[in-house]
Amino acid sequence: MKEYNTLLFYTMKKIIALFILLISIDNVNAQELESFTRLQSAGPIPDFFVKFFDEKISEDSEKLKKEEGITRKNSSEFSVLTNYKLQQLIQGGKVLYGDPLTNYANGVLDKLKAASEDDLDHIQLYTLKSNEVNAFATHQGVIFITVGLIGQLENEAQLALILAHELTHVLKKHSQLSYQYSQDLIKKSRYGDGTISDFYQYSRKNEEEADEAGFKLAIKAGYNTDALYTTFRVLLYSYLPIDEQPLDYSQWENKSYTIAGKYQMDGGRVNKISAEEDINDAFLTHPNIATRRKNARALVQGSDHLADSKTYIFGTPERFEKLRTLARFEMLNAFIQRADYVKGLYHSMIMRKLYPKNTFVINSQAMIWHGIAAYEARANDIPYSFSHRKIEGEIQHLYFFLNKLKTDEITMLATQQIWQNSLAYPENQFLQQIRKEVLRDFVSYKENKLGNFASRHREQADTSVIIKKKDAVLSKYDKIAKKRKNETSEAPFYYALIGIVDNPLFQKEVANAEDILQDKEKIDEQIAEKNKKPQKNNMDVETLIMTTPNYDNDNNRKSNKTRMVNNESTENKLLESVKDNAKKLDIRLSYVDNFRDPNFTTENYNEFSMLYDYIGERVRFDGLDFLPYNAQYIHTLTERYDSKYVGILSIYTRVRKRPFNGSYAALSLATIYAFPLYLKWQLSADKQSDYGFYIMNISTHNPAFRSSRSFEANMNIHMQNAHIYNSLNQLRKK
Amino acid sequence: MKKSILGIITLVLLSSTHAMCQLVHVKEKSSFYLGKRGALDINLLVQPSLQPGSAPDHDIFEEDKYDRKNAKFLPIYTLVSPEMKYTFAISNKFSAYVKGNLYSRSKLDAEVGFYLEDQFNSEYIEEYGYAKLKGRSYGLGFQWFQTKKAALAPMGFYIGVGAAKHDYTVTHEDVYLSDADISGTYGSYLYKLDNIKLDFSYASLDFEIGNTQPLSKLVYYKLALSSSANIGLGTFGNSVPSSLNTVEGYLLHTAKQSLAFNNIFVLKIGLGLVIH
Repeated sequence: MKEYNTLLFYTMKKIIALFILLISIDNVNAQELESFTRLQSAGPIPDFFVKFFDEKISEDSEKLKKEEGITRKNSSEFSVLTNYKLQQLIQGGKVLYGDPLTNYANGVLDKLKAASEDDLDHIQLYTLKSNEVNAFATHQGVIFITVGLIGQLENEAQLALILAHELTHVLKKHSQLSYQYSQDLIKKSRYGDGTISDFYQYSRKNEEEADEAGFKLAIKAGYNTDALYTTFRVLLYSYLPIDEQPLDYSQWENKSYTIAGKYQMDGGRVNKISAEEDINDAFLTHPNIATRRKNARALVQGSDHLADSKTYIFGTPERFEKLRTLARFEMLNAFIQRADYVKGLYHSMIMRKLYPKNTFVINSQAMIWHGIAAYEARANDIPYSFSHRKIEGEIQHLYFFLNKLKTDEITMLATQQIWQNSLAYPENQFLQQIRKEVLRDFVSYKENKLGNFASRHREQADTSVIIKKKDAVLSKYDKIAKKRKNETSEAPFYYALIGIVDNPLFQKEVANAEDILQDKEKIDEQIAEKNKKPQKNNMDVETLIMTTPNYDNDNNRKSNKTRMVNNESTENKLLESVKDNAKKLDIRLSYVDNFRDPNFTTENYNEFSMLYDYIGERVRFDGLDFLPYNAQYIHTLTERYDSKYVGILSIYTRVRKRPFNGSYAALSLATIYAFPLYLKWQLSADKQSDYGFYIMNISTHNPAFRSSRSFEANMNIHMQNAHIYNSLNQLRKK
Repeated sequence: MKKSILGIITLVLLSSTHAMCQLVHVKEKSSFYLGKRGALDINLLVQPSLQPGSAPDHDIFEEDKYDRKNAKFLPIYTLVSPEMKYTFAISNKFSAYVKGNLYSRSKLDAEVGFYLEDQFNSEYIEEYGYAKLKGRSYGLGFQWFQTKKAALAPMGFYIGVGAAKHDYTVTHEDVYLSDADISGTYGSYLYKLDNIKLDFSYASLDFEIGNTQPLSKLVYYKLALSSSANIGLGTFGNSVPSSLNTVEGYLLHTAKQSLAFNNIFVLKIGLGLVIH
């Protein structure tokens, strides 16, 4: 009977696994590219995600202690550090599971597991929503690959090699051994025996080992060696965008306007792509690509090739291509999240050529233009808009172009782009919203009056005949006149809006934007006037969406383990405290990211992942006051939880040993009675706490309330509780 | 990631001013400590002193019994007395308080006889026994809670100022006098003094720095340092004005003298309850 049950159990397990696999295949098709919004996790939430931190570290450090090569003390410290970082990653909502990318990668991983002689059942794989081209593994057997990595890969074999490489790190226990090595090195360095280059050397040795064993495993699994070999070129050029396409200036031009030559970088001045295979890797954790290639070549020559080796074993080229496209779509999200607009714009241009009518790509591009205009107009700086001289590849042209544009020119170009798209897609609500937003920046320049454009029209009338003619029919003199027009005009971008400024709808919306601007100025004045005297509270929050409290105790007098376990337990207490106080004050509370809740589901995980992105964006834009990209999705939370308010609670405490103060000591000794007081002061820690309670109105996307205090003291849990009550009490009218 | 996102939020929260331009500056409602404003605590007042004379539970003329030069620890004399204090929060920052405490001193050596040669017709007079001093104090005042130190009235770090009235009674019962020779040896003539009971009062200005920290939602502990400036105790020093040349006069003078530095430095340790 027992055997029967066991058999039944394994059969069921296999059926479930097959079912999940089928779902994963369906997922690729289900998440149609045309209706893509953002990648979401699917299926049951992994146990690993919801397990309590202290449980994780107690189990894990017990396992580690039994392992050779790492001391008991280091195993405990290492376990805490790794699990804490993992916890942070998971609770940050940036990890994907059960999505098409992760499912595909898991399919490839299964092929590798099957080819391996080791027990690899405990290995888990997840995808990180990051544009960095990276993969890493932790000692517990958790492998992460990034969306950016999948977006750059060419085929399944390359993915297989990267996964096999990471699997080797886990099997050979490289993480824990590296930690032990680094700790030994720190000890040695006190006596001048060890240097940092020793560590790099050790790390490179591990990487070479992982390459070798990974290559062997991938070959054993049946992957084609030539395809595997190409992985190195992906790694070498991974810092460049997903494609090298020349910048097409015509996308901003119209029949009567061309981009002047002074805005275009001379092609001959483009930096060469500097990636070298054979760079000095003495201070790198990985061997250079030349060494890795050489090692791989030697391995390929010395190994038995499988006659039927393939580039695709789990999937097909079409399916991989589709997955890579999904990854590339998702990369747009990440660029916008990071406000990395220049790279994002170049990426969106590549995607737009492939998917000219894709709503997600169109919206992303519009958001990027809006972001560029808003940052430039309101903060006078576009984030990550480095000098083109530091950039390589075709994208250098875009950096040059955007850096060359003046603020008003950027707003005009952004207006042109967003306006044209919004007219082309009138049913797209997000574009209509963004159109209004960009016009706010457009009208914030006094020169950007429609009257000015009209005068430009008159100016242009002189050359309109020339400009309207096709290039083919222009005479030599017409061409010279046109060229000079574009090159010498003080404000050539005024002509970028020719054809748009005449549109009555544009004129109406500009007038509206001007009214809003004036109203806003008036409102700001009224608020400033009101703020002279504190006003009575007019909020009455009955329902509130909360993110779980965030607590961090930065105490250099305590061990990492104590601090991190304490952080976790304090967060639990704060969570209960918010619940209790909300109940007392009759506020209905919903936590969206409560991993400790037994009813926490994947739906919740996706919700809070989106909420975190939204909050992150909104906070990054704070002070600039512009619409977050994820505002288009946030209404789902309002509907589900029947609340338009989202609350965030953060408490940071910082405890430091006081440095010895000789003059205080001398003074207190001179007046002996003050010495005990001095002693008390010297021995007690320097404490500081930062308390922040922030309420965001997710229907207006504006902050609704904040209580932020910096205290010169450490609060115990009861005082924290009292402050939480105080903050929540401010939300109620009563 | 969570930390980094929320870290950014906290940074913005703490640093931004322009960011919240849409926010009207709302007057903060007083929530007090968990919505509760009344707290009652019982404290032990410990008055330390380096000399027995200024330690209130010792004879003011008692000699220092410690060998201070060779002492391993700093020897101190103490007086411990109880206090009850009720604090009522007016806002998150301020509270009012009323307090009462008891004072008792069993050994008040008035050295009455020494100065009463005229009255008792003897050159040297020594005494047996001590007069007793008992007192009660009632005070009220305000406390300013330090929001910079995360306080929410009536909990947290505070600075208090107030005033108190102190009512004292000197009782003088079963005290004998005898004549003595020049070396102070008791002689044969004994006089029993009549029982005396004298009341007097004085006021003080009180200053206190303290910290009340919750141990649970409702129970808290208190640590404080307080200091009082006593008003209405007369002149200091041992010289007795001739106008006081009576037993009552000397007793009163000595009692007041013994209280001159009372409450000048007090350590308070207490336990309390948030009651409403």
